[in-house]
Amino acid sequence: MKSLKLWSLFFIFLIVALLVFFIFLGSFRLGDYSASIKNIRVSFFSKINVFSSFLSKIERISKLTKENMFLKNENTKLLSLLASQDELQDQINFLRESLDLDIFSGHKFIDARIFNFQFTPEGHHFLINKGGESGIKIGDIIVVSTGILLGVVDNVDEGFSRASLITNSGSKITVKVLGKNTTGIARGFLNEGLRLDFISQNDQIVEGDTIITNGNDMFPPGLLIGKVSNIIFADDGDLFKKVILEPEFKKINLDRVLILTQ
Amino acid sequence: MIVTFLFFLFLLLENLLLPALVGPRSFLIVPLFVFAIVVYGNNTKLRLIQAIVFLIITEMFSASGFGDMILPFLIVIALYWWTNSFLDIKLTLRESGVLASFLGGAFFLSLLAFLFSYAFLFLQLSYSFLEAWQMVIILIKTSVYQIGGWALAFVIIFKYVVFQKK
Repeated sequence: MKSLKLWSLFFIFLIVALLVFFIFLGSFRLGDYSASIKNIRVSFFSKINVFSSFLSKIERISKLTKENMFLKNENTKLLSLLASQDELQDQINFLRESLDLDIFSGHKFIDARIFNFQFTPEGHHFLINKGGESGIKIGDIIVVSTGILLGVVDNVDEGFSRASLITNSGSKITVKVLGKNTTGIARGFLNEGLRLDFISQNDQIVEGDTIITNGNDMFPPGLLIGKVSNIIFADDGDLFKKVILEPEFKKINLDRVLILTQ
Repeated sequence: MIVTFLFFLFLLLENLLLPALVGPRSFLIVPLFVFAIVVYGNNTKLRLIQAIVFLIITEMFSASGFGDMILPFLIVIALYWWTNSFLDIKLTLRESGVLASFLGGAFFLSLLAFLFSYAFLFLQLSYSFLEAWQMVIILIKTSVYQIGGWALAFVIIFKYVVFQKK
């Protein structure tokens, strides 16, 4: 009887243990199962997510392209504004520089630009972008804003004019040495620059002297011509020195000019 | 076709590129070019017409008066034709050896360019022989090497490249 009770107790314990075991086992399998489903779901959703993110990327690219195009347009507009502002600033500086010069007082001047150079046997001619409609006439004087003499207008058309450089072989300007009483005539000598005529052996002039217009001809006084680059002293009893000038305009960028109208 | 291309190249070189790069210098590139095509070209009459067209384009490009360059060119070409009739310059230049061809050709093209310059100045300066002569002397004194150099370049280009005998 006692062994029967023990067996019964063992049997009940076994059943409980088995139940517990199966309950634990079941719960583990359920968890495993749900984890597997979860993984599948994650993988599935991640795949969907890749697809959806791809779609959203396309949408974003499309938006970015539109934005990019818009920004490019904006950038172009800003650049154009900046360029016009720069041009205006340049023009203001140029005119301000010009107005500070006393030599231009009493003259009406027109701002213009050089757009072509041409060499003929006479020398160099250049075309400027202002013509008869702007009030330019033959004989008007061309200078740069810093007061350097460049040439004279020799042909006027509607919309443009042609001018000859002071170094052309037909050009003659009455000049003087800055700070001295020496005067003479500067004659155009093409590639060599200019030659100073009528400088006697006793006249004070040295290499490096600055030559300016003296106002005794059509050119206003005080315009810069160039510097003395070479003086040849004649031995054969020549009355005059051979003086060669290097024109000042060769040292600057010829782009914007002022036309002094008469 | 190649001659036209070269013409535009040299036209831009003389009137835009070189003045922008080295400043105003005397070269006479276009006159030397048109003389070179007449002297070294096979069909002289055709080349003469081509040269006149090129000079018209140059005059338009540089806003010169119509005929400013054509008239002196025709005067020099007439002189060349007359001289050629008894000296046979064209044949001599085309048949001569390398050194004689280089030096002779460059000298002859430079001579034509200076004659052109004289005629140009003579017509521009109200037919003043003396003033034109003085200005040509200045041109020769100041730019003989540049003009001679370009003439030599055109001899090489036209005799040995463009109009090379097959």
